[in-house]
Amino acid sequence: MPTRARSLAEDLRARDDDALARLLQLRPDTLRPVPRSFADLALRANSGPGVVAALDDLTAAHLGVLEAACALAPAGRFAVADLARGLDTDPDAVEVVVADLYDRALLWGGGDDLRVPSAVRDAMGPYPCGLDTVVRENLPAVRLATDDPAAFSDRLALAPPAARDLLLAHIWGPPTLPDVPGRDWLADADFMATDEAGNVLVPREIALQLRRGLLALDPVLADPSAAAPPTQLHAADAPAAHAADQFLRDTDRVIQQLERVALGRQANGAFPVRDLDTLATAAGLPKEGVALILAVAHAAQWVDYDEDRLRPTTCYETEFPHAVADRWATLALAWYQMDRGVPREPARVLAAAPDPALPAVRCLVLTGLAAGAARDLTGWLAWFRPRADVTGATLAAVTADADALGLCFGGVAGAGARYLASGATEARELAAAIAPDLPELTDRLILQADLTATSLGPLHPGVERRLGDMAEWESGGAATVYRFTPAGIRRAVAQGIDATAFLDWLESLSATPVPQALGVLMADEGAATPTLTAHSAMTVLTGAADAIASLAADPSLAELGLREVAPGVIVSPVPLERVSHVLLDNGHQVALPPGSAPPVLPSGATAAGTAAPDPRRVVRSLRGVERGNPATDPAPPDLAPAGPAQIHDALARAAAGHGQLWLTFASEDGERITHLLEPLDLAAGDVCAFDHSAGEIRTIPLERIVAISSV
Amino acid sequence: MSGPLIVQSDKTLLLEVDHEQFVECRNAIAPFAELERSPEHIHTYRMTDLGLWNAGAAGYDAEQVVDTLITYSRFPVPHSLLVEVADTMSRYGRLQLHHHPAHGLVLSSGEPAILDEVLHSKKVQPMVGERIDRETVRVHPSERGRLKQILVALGWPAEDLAGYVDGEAHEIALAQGEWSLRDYQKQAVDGFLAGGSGVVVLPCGSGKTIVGAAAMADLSATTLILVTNTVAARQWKAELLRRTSLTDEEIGEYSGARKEIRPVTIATYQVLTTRRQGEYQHLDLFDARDWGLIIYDEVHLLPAPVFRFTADIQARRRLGLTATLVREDGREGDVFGLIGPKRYDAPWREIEAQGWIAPAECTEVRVALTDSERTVYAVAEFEDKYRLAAHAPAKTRIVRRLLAEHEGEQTLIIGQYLDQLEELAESLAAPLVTGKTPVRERERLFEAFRTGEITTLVVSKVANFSVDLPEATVAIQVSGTFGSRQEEAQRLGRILRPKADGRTAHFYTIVTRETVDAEFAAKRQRFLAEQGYAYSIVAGDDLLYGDPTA
Repeated sequence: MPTRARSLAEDLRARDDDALARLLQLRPDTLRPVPRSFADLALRANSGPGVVAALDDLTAAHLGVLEAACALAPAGRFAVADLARGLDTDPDAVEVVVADLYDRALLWGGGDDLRVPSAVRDAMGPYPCGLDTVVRENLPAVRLATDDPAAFSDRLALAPPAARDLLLAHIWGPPTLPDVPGRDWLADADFMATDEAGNVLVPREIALQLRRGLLALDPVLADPSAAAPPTQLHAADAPAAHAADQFLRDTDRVIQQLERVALGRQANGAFPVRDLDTLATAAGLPKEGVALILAVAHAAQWVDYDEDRLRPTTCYETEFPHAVADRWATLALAWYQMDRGVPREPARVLAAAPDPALPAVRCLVLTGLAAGAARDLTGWLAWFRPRADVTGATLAAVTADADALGLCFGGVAGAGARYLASGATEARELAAAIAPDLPELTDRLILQADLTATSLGPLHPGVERRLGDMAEWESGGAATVYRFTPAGIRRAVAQGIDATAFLDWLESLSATPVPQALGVLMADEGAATPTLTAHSAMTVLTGAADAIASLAADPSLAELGLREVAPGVIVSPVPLERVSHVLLDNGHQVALPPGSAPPVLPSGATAAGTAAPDPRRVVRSLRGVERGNPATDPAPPDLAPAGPAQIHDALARAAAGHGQLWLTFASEDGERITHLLEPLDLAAGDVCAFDHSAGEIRTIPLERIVAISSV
Repeated sequence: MSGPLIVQSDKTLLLEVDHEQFVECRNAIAPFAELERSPEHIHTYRMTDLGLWNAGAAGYDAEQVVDTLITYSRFPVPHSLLVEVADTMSRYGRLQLHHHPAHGLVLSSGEPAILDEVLHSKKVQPMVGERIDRETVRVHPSERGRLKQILVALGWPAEDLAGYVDGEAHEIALAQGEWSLRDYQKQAVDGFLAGGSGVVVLPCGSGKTIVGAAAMADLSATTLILVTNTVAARQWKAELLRRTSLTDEEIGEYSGARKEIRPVTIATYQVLTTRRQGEYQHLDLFDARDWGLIIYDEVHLLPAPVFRFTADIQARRRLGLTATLVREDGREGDVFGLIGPKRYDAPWREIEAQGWIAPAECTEVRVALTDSERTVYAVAEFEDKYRLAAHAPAKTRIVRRLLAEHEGEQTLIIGQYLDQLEELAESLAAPLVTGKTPVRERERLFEAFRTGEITTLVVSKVANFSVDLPEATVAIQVSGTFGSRQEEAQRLGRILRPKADGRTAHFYTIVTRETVDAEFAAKRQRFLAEQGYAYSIVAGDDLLYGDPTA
């Protein structure tokens, strides 16, 4: 810690880059909007709302020490030793906490010159540790208490019982005394003071004297739950991974059922209850479970509304062939970050107002579970985040969700929960965390004469999906049971599935001979092959025959499912907006039909844009601003005009990938300028970037950018 | 590969038959899980709230159940399921029905809040009297059964500690001779006696009557036996005379023909449910003596009025017997609620493997309608379609062919439609037994069939149940009661008595393809398929003219 800084800004400027990056990381309130200078950073670190948010992120130990600091030095500075004395605890333990508070800029200075930022004092309230914060050395009783404690005690012993009881009842706070019998004696004896607002108070010096100098009665500097017997660290990994596999399997089943069960949206945004019931029955799950799956799948962009009907997205289809661990990680992260929970009425799951606090609660719950606090999460939370306003019901609901997702098992953290509790949110790493414990997939089936197919273990999702096309799902879990019915086979045949080929496929997977009854059923129902095949075509593209043919053959457009139906005509099952966007992205110019909306930004780009800025780059930029001497740029190139989607994508890529860009944009006074910028943050329609050309951090509305070029 | 059990999240349990721990695991899960189906490779059990509570009543606690699941499970058991099992089982017994020395039958709970909750139900209120204290309320004795049912529906099953009346004692002993109770029969009787009331499920032909007789002998009390029809009543009587110390004078028949009330009385459901001027005339039979035991034969057919009356006699021991606890009206839950939980259940194929029922082959023979028949069928009203399909003339040719193939074997031809059966009987010159056939004539024909005097008998659904024709080895079904699964199983049951020469029984069902007949047949076969009876399917033409590919 540096010493003798004259201000918080100076203190911050003197910190090394690592410490600054750590501050920005620990205090997201200081990172966004990106501070333009150290003065701006200090202002932000000492702003009321920012400090309140920072206090919300503290443990009981941090809050206790910080409150003691506020109580200890009402106006001035203090040292760690003073705090340790006031808390009657080990100075080394206090030192650790103080260092962390310093890192968060909730304390500044150093050595015997530690300071509390003013906003922290304000946030701690007028009476930290139950003490008045005004020094009243001139009061006779105060002088007596500090100079001659024995005489002070003698004098107090003369007090009538009511007066003594009143005083003793308030020495640990609050220091304000109500107008009750005994107060008059205290006033006459100068045992009280009156503040500017007219409150009658126990002077801090008298209270401290009666407390024997202690700031707090029972300070807690260590996690009390750490004393509990530790849970075996990896005990839940395997069962949680099985639950994870099950959740993914259930999700696939629900999503695939959306093709058969129309789940619409009512005027109020809720699903019709009956439709949700039908879906739940078809998927063999309780509707609360289906609601959770739909919320998570929606957050993962695996389902979305298509003209008021919820359907699987192309994103779902694209990711379907991916490994189980990767797909599960997508869902788990979507849940972890989504601002929805399952409401009391499950049909309102996508209609209920978002709760922005939920991701933080999930983070807390997983942290607690990873810390082994499953038995007393509420108690742990009272230690870890005493200021968090989370009800027991919310904790229980989030824990139940985490169990369902396979992050935990019975409230004990699995590998997935431990990974997320570490603060990281990389899908690939999350997948790798649970992959070793995922159950081995099978493609073997047991076909029985009661027309069922059973897998004695988790089926490969592809096998399960193909089986689901032809047979009715009957039971799920570690094993899966499907039943063949005439209606199911007829439906599959109507969709163009060849019953004979299907039976051959079944035979190839079956550990047992195909029962004759099943073969006959397939042959009978499969014989009625329809002569017409229906396809869905949501978007039609027309153009020159060879251009159209090349589009259909372009592998980079595979997600659009383009199919040539006549020379110069291709169709896609994907909505028009998405088709337009993907084509534009791939450098094709598309004319939209009159009246159609412009292409919406892909949700993927939006997600990338909302990622927090990189603290290290922000620190580098702040240093750049400090230097104040713009680099001598090479001559700006001539930039070609770009469309909004192209600009957005390029900025998002640069913000995420540490790139620099030449941008031509209109300045505030309308001048068109071209500068070399390093985007730091992309949010709310603005890009915040370090302007290498001007040596400053600036924010530019996206609509003012007209041309762009990477360096 | 580890345990033989897979615990599914929907609370079904899949048990692998070929696993070395199959038997051990089956015995371990049987107390709390119902066997749902038992085809050749994987048996399916289901854990229900009622099943778990019954396990609780039998002395199992949640820890034992959870431990069993974890011990035998191949994969980690879903945590939520374990919690649910523990939660469900913890609800049993927190309400108790017992006799209070001063107030008679009472419902009590150590947790007044639970009592408050159930007493808040409008359905419970008329069944109880005044609140004695915060933890106890008086119960009308006649409402004991219905109250228990409602408490189950409310999710707070009561532990019934009120016990049973012993009834009037009557000495009954099993006859000594060259027979003894088979192991499974003994287990079934023990299971029943341990619980006091309940249902025993055993395949047709495996000796359910003997289980009844053994229960009677153990309790040595006056017994009321309820059966489906008069022929069954007389078979019961004959079997009791053969297997027990009871004499002709001690056994009464209470049917349309006779109204005898004796220490052991056998009554038909039909006479019990006969109404005159809207009143059931004979339900007071339940109170005619101080019965120590009431046996419900073919409990899956229990008619609604008997259900209602059974609710009133919860203090008497009740034994239900059936081969197929599949009720087409879905009232299996009422059977368990009013008669008692399932006390014993054995897969058919297992009893077959032990040699106590005959091995059987099931064959579905498919015939086709001619073009002209098809046209008639196509334009027929829906309600006539099944009759038309079931009556397909091609079926007669198949019956003849099958009779020729099984010449000399005792064969039953079973059907639904009387005109169809009359035509068949006439064209085959075989006697016909229907509901219209007088009981005496029926008995004569059945006896002639048993002795081999006649080899082919055409029967309607009167022979579906309780008709003991041990020598029948072939059954040909030409039509059935729509999609009735239990009827199909019962009809197969007619030929499952083990044969002296150990021969295989043959069950044929003739089905008109591409009609509702085939759809109903598929539904009918489900129960047997789930018991491991795989139907082989042959084309009628192949049977008549030979398989060209063979």
